[in-house]
Amino acid sequence: MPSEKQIVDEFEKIAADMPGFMAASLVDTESGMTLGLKSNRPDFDLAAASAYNSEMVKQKLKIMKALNLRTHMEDMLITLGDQIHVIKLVSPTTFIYLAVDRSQCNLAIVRNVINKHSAAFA
Amino acid sequence: MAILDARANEIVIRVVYDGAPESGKTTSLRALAGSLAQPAVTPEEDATGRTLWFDWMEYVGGRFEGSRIRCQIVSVPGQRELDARRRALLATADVVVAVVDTTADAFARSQAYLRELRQTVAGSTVGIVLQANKRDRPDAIEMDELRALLGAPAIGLIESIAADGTGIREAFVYAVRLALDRVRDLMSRSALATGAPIERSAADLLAALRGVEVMQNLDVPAIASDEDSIAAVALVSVLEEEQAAATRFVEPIAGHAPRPPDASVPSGAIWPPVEGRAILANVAELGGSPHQFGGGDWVVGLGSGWRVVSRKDACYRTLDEGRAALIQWARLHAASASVISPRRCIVLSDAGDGSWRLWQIVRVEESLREAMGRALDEPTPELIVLRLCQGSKQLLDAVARIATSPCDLPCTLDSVGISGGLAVYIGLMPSRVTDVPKTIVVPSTLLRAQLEPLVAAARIGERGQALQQVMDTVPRPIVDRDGIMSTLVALFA
Repeated sequence: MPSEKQIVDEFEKIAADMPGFMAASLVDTESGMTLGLKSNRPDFDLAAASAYNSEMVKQKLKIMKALNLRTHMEDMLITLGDQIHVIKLVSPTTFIYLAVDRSQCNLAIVRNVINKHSAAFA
Repeated sequence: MAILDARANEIVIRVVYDGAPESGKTTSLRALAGSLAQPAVTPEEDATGRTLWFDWMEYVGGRFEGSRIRCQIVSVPGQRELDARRRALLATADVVVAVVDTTADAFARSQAYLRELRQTVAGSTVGIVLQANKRDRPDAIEMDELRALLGAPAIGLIESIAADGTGIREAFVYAVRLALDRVRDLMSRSALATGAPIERSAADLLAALRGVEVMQNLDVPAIASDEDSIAAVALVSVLEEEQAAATRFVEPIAGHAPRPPDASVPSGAIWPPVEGRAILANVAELGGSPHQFGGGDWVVGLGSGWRVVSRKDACYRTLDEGRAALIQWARLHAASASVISPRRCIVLSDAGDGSWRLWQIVRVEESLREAMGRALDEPTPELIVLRLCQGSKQLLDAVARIATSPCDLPCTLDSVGISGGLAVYIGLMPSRVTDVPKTIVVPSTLLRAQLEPLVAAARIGERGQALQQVMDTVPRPIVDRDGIMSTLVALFA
């Protein structure tokens, strides 16, 4: 598990690679706690967003179990009117939550950048 | 973990499938499940479909000394980085089926795992069945050569092709026989555990493993396989030091009262992150200064309807150390969320002397003792009996539900209350999971111990006879499954 400083440093690199970067956090799935975060928007409550998204991840995993899907979840993509939100599972207990300005970026760039950096969070 | 469950008239044994990654453990367990027509459960898998915690199935069949045999069959994760989970599961085995990939390329790795397994069970009565797998492969080592390489005549050797189920059932039957030999040995030494097994399902086992892992912080990188090398020894030393530092407590400045938690706590220092902020805002409005009690714990806002408590040793030198402890504790809370009262949070707060302190804030809820105390003031004997039966049932429901929590929470009339119609734990959470096995509770004993002082304090007097008459009219076999009515009859006699 990387330290909080390592997590924040890696998010700095993601922000540098990704136009329209708004906020990102590494989240403990079970508790919903942020293990490290970076935000360019002071009005974006990343701790609350991370906690709610951990509930979403847990519910989706429950659904997969209920459907007896013998596979794993890689990521979840949510497209809002002006933002793209990505949840990328990086270990059995953690995921990255990332919010990007849709007018400055697109899904291909988001996935490419996040895949490039995700190993550092495992 | 062999245990005699007298109430269910069952002997519960655990068969653990061990082996190197991709040796065929999960395939064997699933083939066995198919052959015995039982469902197999795998809580989580990684991207390549490998087991992350364990595979699980149960099979009830045959009898031993008049009791049914219930087999809990689990396989370990083989990945090196998950070695702690493997060791934890092996520690619960009554017998181990060592699945060995006997192809030439993979055999050396399987041998290393087998060596570790032998060291693990050395000195115990846990038997090993060696399941020589992948016998259909052209490069499989010849059996004579295999026997020579294994060089241990004491263990059973059975050939298998897990992919098509060949030899799987034979290995399992052999393993059960060895496990029952162990049970017989334990019985002869009066060492066989009795009572209901704590882990009755895959979910129970997963919760138990998670609970242990949360508190032991087992997210330690894999250690070099050559454990005696200088680098490996140094790495172990550094990692142990890091782990110890994560939970090391600092001695607070003598006489300094810590600053109570308030709304200024930084992001990521409160759990649950959303509801916790609202609770903290409510509590901060109440004000009040911390008081230190005899044991050294700090308490704020006595009589305010909230319990705001910081244990004596919940003090950390840096924010990072405090946050590591907070996250471990948050996981413990999250894993117990369904059995604890919802209006609570934990906060890491600046103590004001350069250190950081963990607080837990718990809403004071009505306990079953208070509710049942009121029940004894009901105007009619019928209502008193009804309320006491309801309260007793709620206590026993709480015992059953709280047993699924990773920590051993006390179930008493004082520590259990009702929230949202469910019996939940309303007390303070322990700061860690201990290795002490969970207490096995006998319902009638618990009820009697809890209700006796309550009834004695109520001075029932002449009403006792009226209560007896009401209880005599209740059809005992229908309502007395947990011994509630017989306990009440005995109390009022």
